[in-house]
Amino acid sequence: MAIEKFNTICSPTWCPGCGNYSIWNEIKRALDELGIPQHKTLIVYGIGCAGNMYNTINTYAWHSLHGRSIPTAVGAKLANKDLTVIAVAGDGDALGEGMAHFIHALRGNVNITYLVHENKVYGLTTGQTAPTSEKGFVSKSTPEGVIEVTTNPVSLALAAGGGFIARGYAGKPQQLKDLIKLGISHRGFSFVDILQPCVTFNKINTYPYYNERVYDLQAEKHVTNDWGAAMGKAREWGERIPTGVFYQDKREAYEDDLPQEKGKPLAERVVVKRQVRTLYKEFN
Amino acid sequence: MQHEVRFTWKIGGEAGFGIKSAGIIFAKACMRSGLYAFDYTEYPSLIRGGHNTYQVTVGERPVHAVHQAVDILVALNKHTIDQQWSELSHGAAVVYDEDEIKLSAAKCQAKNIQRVSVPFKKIIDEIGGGEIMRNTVAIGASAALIHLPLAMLNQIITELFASKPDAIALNIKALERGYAHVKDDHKKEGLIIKLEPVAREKRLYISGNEALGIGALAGGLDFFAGYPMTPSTTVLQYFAGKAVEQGLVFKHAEDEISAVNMAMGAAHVGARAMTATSGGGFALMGEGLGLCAVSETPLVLVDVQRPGPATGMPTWTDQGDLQFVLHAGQGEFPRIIAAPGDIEECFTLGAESLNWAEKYQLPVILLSDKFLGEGYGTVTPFAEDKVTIERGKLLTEKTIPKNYKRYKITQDGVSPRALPGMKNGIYWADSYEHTEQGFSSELASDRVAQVDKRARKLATALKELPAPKLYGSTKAQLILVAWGSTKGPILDAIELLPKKYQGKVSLLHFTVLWPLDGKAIRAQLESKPGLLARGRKVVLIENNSNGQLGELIRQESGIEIKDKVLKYDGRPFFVEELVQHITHFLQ
Repeated sequence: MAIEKFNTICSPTWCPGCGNYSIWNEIKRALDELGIPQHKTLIVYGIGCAGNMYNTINTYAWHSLHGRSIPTAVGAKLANKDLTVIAVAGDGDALGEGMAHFIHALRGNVNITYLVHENKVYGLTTGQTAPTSEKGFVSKSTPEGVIEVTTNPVSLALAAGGGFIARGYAGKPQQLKDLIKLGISHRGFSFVDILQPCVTFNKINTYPYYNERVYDLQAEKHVTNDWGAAMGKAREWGERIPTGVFYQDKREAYEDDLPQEKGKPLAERVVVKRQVRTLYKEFN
Repeated sequence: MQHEVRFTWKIGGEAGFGIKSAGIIFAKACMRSGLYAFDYTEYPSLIRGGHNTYQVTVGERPVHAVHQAVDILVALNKHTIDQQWSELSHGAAVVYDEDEIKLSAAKCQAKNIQRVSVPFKKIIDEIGGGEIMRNTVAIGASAALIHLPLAMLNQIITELFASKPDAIALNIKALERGYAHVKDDHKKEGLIIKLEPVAREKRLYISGNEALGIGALAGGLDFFAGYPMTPSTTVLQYFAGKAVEQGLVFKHAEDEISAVNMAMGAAHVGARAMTATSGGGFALMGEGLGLCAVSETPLVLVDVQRPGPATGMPTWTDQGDLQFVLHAGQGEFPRIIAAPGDIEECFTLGAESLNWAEKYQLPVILLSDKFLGEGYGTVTPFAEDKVTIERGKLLTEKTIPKNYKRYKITQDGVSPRALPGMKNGIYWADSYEHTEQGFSSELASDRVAQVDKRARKLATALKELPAPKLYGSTKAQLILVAWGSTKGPILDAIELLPKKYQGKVSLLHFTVLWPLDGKAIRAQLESKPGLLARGRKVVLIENNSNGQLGELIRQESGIEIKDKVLKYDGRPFFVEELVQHITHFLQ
């Protein structure tokens, strides 16, 4: 199999049946089908079960701190625009600790891809509530049930000015792979929310739960350039759960507006001493 | 014998009165007259109202310190006279508008203060200028008092308002009216100082923050991410303003956490990267600092200190972050800490810190402060020729060895570094403890090997980093020990000591604060093991309340410096008080 070249000497450490296996496979498949060289790819991982994918994909990798995958990915992309930069995070990463970075990345539109494993629970710390947990969800940190309403990452991303917003499901690998490919190919910040059953700590949002509810927006001819329609779909959650591309715009990526990004990537230019005498004028 | 020219001019008024721009115009005019100028500004953290002052000490010889005694005071409001009265030197001149402020002859008698009333309001009303132009009238008046050529000021105004021709004409009118008024109406007071403009090589009137910016640009900085925080903001603004022209990517991040992580991302793929903040922002960068060290990413972090804790005193100065930046971040990891002593060292370290970061692959922290960072002084053009670019063990695609291991155990602790994008260099940069390849590992052997390897980098660096520098004789009776920005004020104070004390005082100044060589420190301070040199006194001088360098010296060398001069009221050391302290220790 072509994707074996993406494997490393390390094996995943997730529970049997975890949705992360499917996400892991589809990231590798997407990279392979897009034909992006492994050494031209940098994946920035968060901390948590999602971040534990770190050891297991054979591309350049950066294991960041909890919540901080986005700023590192943004810095790397701005310094080497020739790299395909992907950030992989969990919902604690993206919507708990790293919420501010997420919102600013959406408005900033640097050309990276953000894959958020949404399992609606904190898995690696063994079962506390996540910002995405449903109201009333009983966990080790909410023994009486969650009081807050649920963070909806898709409507949040739309409201914050995201230019590519999609949702996949670990139980629909083919569609998930296509969404990851679309996200990587999109010029600008692309966000793929990935519904990921946690077989150990979330007994609500299970495979059967999603299998009964998910449907493909594209199969229902959803128009992806209509923000209002996208917001309508983003707020749909219950008997039917939409997946696919909600919204995509054509605005320029952040770095397209920087004249200093023209030409060779910053990191590939030879570092030379600048002549700074010309900078003295304002101080004379 | 003619007296050496050295005087202090000060202007005060509300925020929004153009206090700072007036001061810079005045200082530049003095500099272009062949003199040295050094400024100091006090302002509260607000945009309008409050009380702002800007003072410039002008001298024939270089000036590096704030003088407390004011020789010419420009009072744009009454509050300035009340507030600054005690600072006036004997025979000082007060420039004010008697139509608005009452200043009685009786009050001035005791100190022989000269009243120089200039009708600021009447003049600006007549020429049709706004309230804010009173400062320009005041500069004109001040210039006349010291014989500064009007043409020089006109030239500076013309350069300053190059994009607003209407403003040029109006400001020149205001200057001329202020100048003429003093020349015509105050002949009897006499002109207290007579400058003799001389032609000299071009000098710069520049702040420490801007000098650091220029240094970093000279050193090949590619990427800067930051979040504004007084008094570091002018570092950020300097890069923002130069980014397009200098081919530097600048990013105003959403917070300091993001800033440090962005800068690390850029550094990871090979850019020369920097971030800058003050103590509060550095607190947010703490988690990133550890990641920087464990991932062995070259990065320069600048902390322009202000008094803490918490919001502290945002627009004032302090050296209270030394122990903080040394210990910030959980766990044990190597870092280099250096503190520029003056504006020239801001330039030098701005460039050199980027080399250290790449040579040792670790975070380099530069500690400046409000006094040095925001303070302007006169310097000759920087030593650009001495700037080098050293990238350490950076590999190219062709030099990457087979079975490349990014975190290979090496003797000097530094491992060859490939960059993302290079063929056959793939590795895993890990916040987790890791193997030589960078895979997460909890094996005892990996843990110990990597901790030791990282720690060895400091021993390697210690051999190459500049040692503390002794200014003055090794045999001096009194050795002052200090670090960072207090260098200038202390050296100026030593120079201003009475003749009988000349040659009796030296300064041992620390630019590199970490790592420290305890043995070398002992050699500097002791005559034989365990004993400070016979008859010699050692005094610690720091702008903080704990004597943090003193604590470090004790920790590393075992020497306890008992005599301390510590100042932590938000103000820098004034030269007069240092002279007093030093004299006290010599008696």
